[in-house]
This record gives sequence, structure tokens and C-alpha cells, in this order.
Amino acid sequence: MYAIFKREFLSFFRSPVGYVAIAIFSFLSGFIFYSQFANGKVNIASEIISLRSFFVVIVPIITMGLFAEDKKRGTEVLYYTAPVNLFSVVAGKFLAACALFGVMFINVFIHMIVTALCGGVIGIGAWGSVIVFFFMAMMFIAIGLFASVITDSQIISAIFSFILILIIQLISTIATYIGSAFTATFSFFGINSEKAASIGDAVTSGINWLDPFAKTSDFRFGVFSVSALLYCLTVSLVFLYITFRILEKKRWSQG
Amino acid sequence: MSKKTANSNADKASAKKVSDKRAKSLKFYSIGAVLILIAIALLINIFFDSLLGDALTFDFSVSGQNSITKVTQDYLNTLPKDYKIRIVGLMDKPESLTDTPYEYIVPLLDDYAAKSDGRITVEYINPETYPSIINELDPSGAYDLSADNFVVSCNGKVQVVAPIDCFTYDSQYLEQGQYLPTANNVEYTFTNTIVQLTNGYASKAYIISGLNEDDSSTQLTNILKALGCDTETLEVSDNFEIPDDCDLLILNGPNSDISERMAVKIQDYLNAGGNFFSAVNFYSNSADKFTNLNTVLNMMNLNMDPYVICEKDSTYYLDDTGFNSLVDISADFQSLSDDFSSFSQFKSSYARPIRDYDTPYSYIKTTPIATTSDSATAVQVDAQGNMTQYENASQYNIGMYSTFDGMDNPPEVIAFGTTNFSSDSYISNYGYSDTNVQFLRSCLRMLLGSGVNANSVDVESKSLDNYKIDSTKATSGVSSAVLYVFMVIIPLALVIVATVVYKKRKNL
Repeated sequence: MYAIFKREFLSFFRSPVGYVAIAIFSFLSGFIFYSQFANGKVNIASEIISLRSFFVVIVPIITMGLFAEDKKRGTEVLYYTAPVNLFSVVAGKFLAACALFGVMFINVFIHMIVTALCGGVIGIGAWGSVIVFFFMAMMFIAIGLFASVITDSQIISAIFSFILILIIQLISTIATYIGSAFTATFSFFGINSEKAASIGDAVTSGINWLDPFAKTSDFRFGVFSVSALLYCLTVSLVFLYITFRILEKKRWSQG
Repeated sequence: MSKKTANSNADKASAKKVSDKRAKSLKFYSIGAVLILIAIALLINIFFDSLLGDALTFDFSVSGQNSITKVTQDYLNTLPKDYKIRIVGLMDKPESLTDTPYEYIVPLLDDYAAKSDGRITVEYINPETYPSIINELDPSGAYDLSADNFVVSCNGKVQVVAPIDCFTYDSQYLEQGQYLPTANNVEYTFTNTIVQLTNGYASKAYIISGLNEDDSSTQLTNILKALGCDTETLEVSDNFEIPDDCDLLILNGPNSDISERMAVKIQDYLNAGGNFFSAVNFYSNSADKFTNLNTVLNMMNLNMDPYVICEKDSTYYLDDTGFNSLVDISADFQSLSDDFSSFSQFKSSYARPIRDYDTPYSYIKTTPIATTSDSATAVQVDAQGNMTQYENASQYNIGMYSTFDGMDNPPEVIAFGTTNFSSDSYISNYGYSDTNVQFLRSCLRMLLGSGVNANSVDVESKSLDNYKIDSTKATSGVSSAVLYVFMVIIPLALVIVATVVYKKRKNL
């Protein structure tokens, strides 16, 4: 697994992908940091929370080629012929993408140092946001990896992961619409409006329960919830396992 | 040959059939494994979320912004287990909390619900979606339940908490119509509301209004309510009367004197064993001598002089003018109640001297509350604002306590020559945990005596997160450097490297 991790991690820097991703991240984080700095108040937690919104752009760039590129070149056959477990291949690529996020995040650590040097506060909320950032990055990378394994086109992979991540980012809005639709439907069929609204609310709450952003929102205030992290971790594992299964399918479906 | 081909085809078909069967079972296994994993993941998350979610949530914030304090927890523990307190936010549950008052309210209310052992429930019900909620909470329609407020109900009693009331604000910004929070009083507000609903009010205070006060004593009202004391405004009028249910009469920051009738009525009230709290400063009323107020104070062996205290001791004064200074809490006053033992000094501003009356009554006992250093002087200021006369350097009192000696139910008076702890602007700027405000609370508690709820709680304000950077270090030059380094140089350098890498490797 280490060999795959090393190969994938270095491959980010043997192509423009890694540099471009870091450049975008640097610019965005720099922009947010400067906006706060110029106003005389720097809340690193707020910066990190804002950066989470850009997963939808950065993650597809990083993950689009992880499997799709190998498929296109035909080098994916190495996974099946080399004496390695396929899950190690998935885990190696996943960890390499996570490590790239770690490299990107050096920007934020530099911002923290500048803030501290300028007499600002790096509160517990900032560290909470760092933890959440990485757990959410893991989750979205796992989703991006899944998007990459189902196609041999990097573009399709990027679009697919973009859509999946966007849906997750907008889940609370989507939940509200679906809830309203349920309410309207039940009202249409003559159910008491408050009863219909409560059904709609239940649906909204049910969908909202899946929202990782809502689950982890309190970390920025210094309130750490293990169950929120567990959620991100299990979603990551589920997508990694699905990725592994799709990859392994080739072994028996080709015969 | 054709037989051989036929056999070969049959073998292939058989092999394909075996292969298909194997693929089918592996496919079934693969899908099944994924579904089982998803189910396990869901179950684990539901289990953790519903059963262990609260136990595995830790508040590491410095001032515990999102957790109830031990004071509240202890109070909730005293309530019977079957007590039901319902907190309803008349709104959809706020999703985006950042930079809104809900940032501090929603997580804390969740903590109330989590730690109350079922006594408190928190719901968010939008009255636009569920109009019946208003009638459900307030069948009589006695309360003004409007959207975006919180309603705390218990045993048919209701109190409304507006999010804006959960904070104190910088008074200077407030004057310009801007809200700059200075302290978080969410827990203070909700806990005291719960205490009032569960205990009721034990006493009643009247705050005199209509003497050109600087503010409306809103913060003082909040403090009194937290002590279990209901408050009402007593307007100045030609028919001024003090109601029979008045346990404490308050004169807070008047800029003009009381009328003769008011003086008489207050004297009658004191003779009947009433309690009187007076706080008058010198800032915007320097020309007023408060003659009628002094007749009331004289009756209690007190006198307020028409001077402003000017501190000359550098270890006491807080600015070059000497009008803002520290004052010592006198040892005699500290000995009156354990409540005062923790105070040694507080901040005074533009204070008038309070002293013993020239011809004192023997049955009245006075005690200095707060004193200046021995080097302070008192300055007289004329109508044009010129300082005309300096009194001798001496120790001055800026607050005194007076009561009848050896009498049951004696009147009690606390007179201060400063409002630097009772004014809205001071309390708003410094919050409820400030020493001056704590001292005020202790004074009020002393005057209310048994009128203070036995179960009243003393929840402190929580400081708000402050992310200001040092303006001497974060100069405009540093700011420009931040702009160029983080937004231009680093990204540009990376793009250049990416271009070089691409050019070098595009043909590989």
C-alpha cells in the first residue's frame, strides 16, 4: 500500500494537477484570510469553514484521474496482476489524495502563524475546524474516488464527483424543498395543513440528518462531537468499499 | 470435423454457463456486501447519534459558550423530575448560525435539553407554518408571542425571550443604531427566565422615571428580575404615589431633582420601613443641587454634595482628569454581609461626594460603602462648566448605607454619587460579570433582603470570542504583504511550476 501511496502522491507533482489544486486552494484561502486580516479581525475557524465550500471544486480536480487515468491508459491491469490486495490500491490512492490535502493545508497553518504573530487568537474552534476539515476532506475524496472508478473519462469522473459533492453541500436546501413538496402533496390530498406540514418537517429532518455540514457545525465553536466524526468516517469507508467492489468486479466479470 | 466443432461449442457453452453462474453469485455477493455495509454504517450512526451523541460531545470552548454552567445545572437538578419546561423557538430551526445571535443560542438550548434529564424540551415551530402554536402556548392571548422570539412555558405560565435581549451591547454603537455585542447573556437570560417561571417573583421594585434620566434602566431591570424581583416604572407626576407593594424604590441616574411632593412621599415610604436605592452622578447634571432629594437623604443622616470628586492619587485615578478612578469598598460595609467580602475596589466615574448629614439623628446608623484615597478633592463646577472651587484633599465617600438602629423592619437606604455600575450604558458595555455590576447586584440583594428568591441564581455573562488582531503589528504594510504573498506570489509560483511540469512531461 505504501508503494501505491508513494507513487500516487508523487504523481500529483509529476503532473500539473497537484500544483494547480494547491494554487487554487492557496488563492482561495489567501483571499479569505486577507479579507479578514484587512478588517482587523481574523477567525481561522471561519476561514476553514469557508474553505469547505470549495471542496466541490478542489476534490474533483484531485480525484478525477486517480482511477480514470489508469483505465484510459490501460495500466489498470497492473492492479490485477501485481501481488497487492485491491483494497490496498484503493487505500493507497485515497491516502495519497488526503496527503495532498495535507500539503494544501500548509497554507492555513501559515495563516495561523501570521495571525498569532499579529496578536490574534487561535482558539479551540480553529482546531476543531481543522479536524472537521480533514474528516470532510476524507469523505469527499472517497466520493471522488468512487466517481473516478466508474468511468475511464476524467471529465465524466470530475463532473460526477462535482454533482455528488454539490448534492451533499446543498442537502439542507434540497431537504427543505422535498419537505415542502411532501407538505404540498399531502395538503392536496385533503390532509389537515398542520399535519401535512409535520409530515413535511419529518421528511426534511430525516434528509437533514444526512447533512455532514450540519453535523459538524459546532466544531468551530469548540464543541467536539464524536458522532459527527464517526459519520464522516463511515461514509468514507462505505464509498471506499464500493470503490473496491467496483474495482474487484473486473476480476470476475471479465471471465 | 463438424462433430468436433459441435463438441467444442458445447464445452464453451458449458464453460460460459459456469462462468455466468459464478459471476452472478459474485455479483450477488458483491451487492449484498455493499448493502450490508451501508446498513451497518447507518445503524452505527443512528446508535451513536441518538444514544451516545450527547455523551460523546465535548465543549472545549474557553468560556463554555455552548454549555450550561454548574449554577444552571444545580438549579435544574433541584426541580422535580416530572417538571416540564418547554422552550419553543417561534421560527424554523436556524440552519446557518454563523454571525447571527443564534450562533450562541441554538447550541446552548440544545445543551439545556440534553442536561435537564427530560425537564426541558426545546422545539422550533414556525407560527407561519403552524399558526395553532400561538394559541397552544398562550390560550388567553395575554402575551405578545411574535415570530423569531423564544417562548419559555411552564405550568401554564409563559415568558418571552427575544434573541436580541440575550446580549449586552456597546452603548456608543447602540446610540448610532448599531449592535456590537459585548457579552453573551444567553444562559443568564434563559436560566433566570426558568427560575422566574418556576419560583415566581418574591418582591417588587419601582424605578422612578421622568427625571431626564440618561437611559431607561433596562439592564437594571434585568438584574432585578434575575434576583426574583418584579419591576415596574413609577412615572413622575403631580399625583406621585408609591404603591403599597413596593419593596424597593429606585432612583437611577436622574438629571433633575425630585419634586417636593415626591420627597415627602419618599420620606413617608421610608418612615414606613421602605427601602430606597439612589444613584446620581455629576456627568450631565452638574448644575443641579438635588435639594429635594437631599431632604430625603438628610432624613437618613446622609447628604449629597454638589461637587465632583477628583482623585489625585496616581494608584487610584484611571485617567488624567481624576474624575474616573478606583474607589475602595469600606471594611465596615464589607462586614455587613458576606456578599461584599469578595469586593475590594470598583470603578467610579464623575461621582458626587456622599457624606454624613451635618445634624445627624442619633437613632440612625450610617456606613460608608465606597471611599476615595486620602488625596482626593471635590471640585465645584459653575454653570459654564468651569471648575471654581477645590475642597481640601481628603477621603470622600461616593456611596453610603443608612438604616435605623435597633428597630424592627427598619428603612434602609443606599445612596451613591455615581451611576458607574447601574446605568444601562455601563452594564451594556461591561456585561453582568463585571465587578461593578456584581457589586450593584449585591447591594440590591441586601436591600431586598428576604425579598430575594431563595432559589435565585447568579449566572455570569460569558465573554464573546474576540478575534481582533493587534493593529500595531497588523499595519497596512503587513496587510499588503499578506495580500501579495498569499493571493499573488504563492498561487502564481505554483501555476508557473505547473506550466513547467506540463511542458516537460507532455510528450512523455
